[in-house]
Amino acid sequence: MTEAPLIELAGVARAARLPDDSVLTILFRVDLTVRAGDHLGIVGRSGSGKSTLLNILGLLDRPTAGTMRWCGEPIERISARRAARIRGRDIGFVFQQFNLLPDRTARENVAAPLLYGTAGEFRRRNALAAEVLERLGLGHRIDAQPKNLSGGEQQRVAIARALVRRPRVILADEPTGALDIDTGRAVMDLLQQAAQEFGTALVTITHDPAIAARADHRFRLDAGRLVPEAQGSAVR
Amino acid sequence: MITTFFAACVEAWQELRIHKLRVLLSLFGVGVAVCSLTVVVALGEMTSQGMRETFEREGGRAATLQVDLYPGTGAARDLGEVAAEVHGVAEEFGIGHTSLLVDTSLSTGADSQRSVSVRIVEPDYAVIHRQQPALGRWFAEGDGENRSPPIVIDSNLAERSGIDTSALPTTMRLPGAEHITATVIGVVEVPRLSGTESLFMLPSTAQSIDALDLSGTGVGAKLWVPDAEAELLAAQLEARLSKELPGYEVSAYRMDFFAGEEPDILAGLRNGLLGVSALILLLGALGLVNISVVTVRQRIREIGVRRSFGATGGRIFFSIVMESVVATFVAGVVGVVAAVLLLKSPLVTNLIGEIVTDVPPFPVSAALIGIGVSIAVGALAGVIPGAIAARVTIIDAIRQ
Repeated sequence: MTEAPLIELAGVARAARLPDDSVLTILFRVDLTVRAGDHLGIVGRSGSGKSTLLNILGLLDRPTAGTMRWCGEPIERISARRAARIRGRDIGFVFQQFNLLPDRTARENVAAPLLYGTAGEFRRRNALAAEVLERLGLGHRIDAQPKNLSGGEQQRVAIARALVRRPRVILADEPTGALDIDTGRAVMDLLQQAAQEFGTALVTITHDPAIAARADHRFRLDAGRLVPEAQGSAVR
Repeated sequence: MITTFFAACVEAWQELRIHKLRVLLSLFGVGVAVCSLTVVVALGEMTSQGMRETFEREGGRAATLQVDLYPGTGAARDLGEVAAEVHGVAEEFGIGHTSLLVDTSLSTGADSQRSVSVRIVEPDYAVIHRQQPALGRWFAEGDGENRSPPIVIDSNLAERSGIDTSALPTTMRLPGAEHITATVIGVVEVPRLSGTESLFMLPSTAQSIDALDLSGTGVGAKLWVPDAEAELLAAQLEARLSKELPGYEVSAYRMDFFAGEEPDILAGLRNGLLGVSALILLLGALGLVNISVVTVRQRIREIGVRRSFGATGGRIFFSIVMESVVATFVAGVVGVVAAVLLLKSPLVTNLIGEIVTDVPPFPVSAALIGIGVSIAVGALAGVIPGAIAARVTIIDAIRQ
């Protein structure tokens, strides 16, 4: 029996009601499947619905139409409380602006998700955080606060935080958006390598075609419509 | 569940550690309020205990019967004879603790202007009245046979007579009967402000002092009896002693006023002060709520990020409430410690010592009330910011 995909979207749409009572459709009939170990790249311009799609994939938001399944289970059957548990255990987020907790050390930032983990994870949180930071080359910076870290280092801390509970999928929203080209490339190398090492699926949403081109499966999001790119074709 | 609790405590502690200044400012009011509340409760309890002890020293423990024996014309009998009759009847009724009590005085100094109160008692008086000397000891069986009569004096008399209380027993010329050298075996503390000078002596000593004219004077006795039988025994003792001491007017009644209970006036005063403290605490809590709400609004993005880690709305609510509770708990501990230091400072201790004889220890109940109230205030003050934080929309929060 083949294992169910981690995430499955079929004909998913997301619409929002505006203050003037009109309806704005952000995503139209999106079909997408994320399997264990996949690397998906989704490229799109600002306002194309990238963040909305990422929120839906990360169980932060729900579709208004279509079908979504998490590990084969329809999303309607997953309560908000259970969705929070799934997010904590199986989904790691990497944000464009890093979103590190200010005034906490790198270790405290990486250990933060473990405060919501199991009793064993909570007890070993400092050791687990130090171990992941070490693996991402930040062993010498574990007691540094975000304000004392470079942009690249901050994003590496954010990646460590996303990986510390060994999630099944990492959702990266413009992970290099706040970095220069070289640092962005280095961070993406690290993110891909870490995802492979941890056996984690990686979904990268970006406006940068070069970043999306690194993925095994590439898609273009254009005005809320997701279109697959042919294998080997350049994403523009 | 336990992990959630400890994890929330860790989160709360990190938050407090990082925002020390904000926390310090917001908790200043709570700390001061808890300190004043604890001081009020402790002072109330200490005063209450002090007054209870004073009442017991004056009137006796529950239940103490006072027996007054007044001789009619030609009926006066020797103090020793009266004592023997009282003890005989008490023994017959199975009363274990009995003491004669005669209040008189000795005059001394130029023109006999200095008066020293004399209380003639027996060893059991100390049991009935919880009268324990601060220095030395109380009377014991056999003391009456000493060649140098034993006396217990109060601290005022000791000070004014220049007695070295660190070297008891010591001797002193008996005020008003200077030809007698008495042995001071103990010193009882009395408030300095009371100004009285007094001493206790045994009946045998009193009978040997000519300056104390006891002929024809009334004699009292104190008897410690079971609380439930006090009224009945009073009536029976009165009847029996009237029979044994013909010609004497005998009355027996309870004398342990207020023993074991708090005087109404004190309860009223304490409730009033508690009300004022509660008001201060309320104002402190309102300040805390105000700052917490503003702080939560500034932390919306952080809360969104935590929700993305898997924190549920309930968990965020609990964390914010715990932040408030941990903070006010710390403030409460500081407030209680400040209250203890304040009440145990030499200045306050001396001040209390001027009013009451024994300065009671700091009551544990006051400290527990202080800590309990601070935790309750923290929990209540955390509810509103906690509810705001729990209702944050994750997507909007992360985008901020």
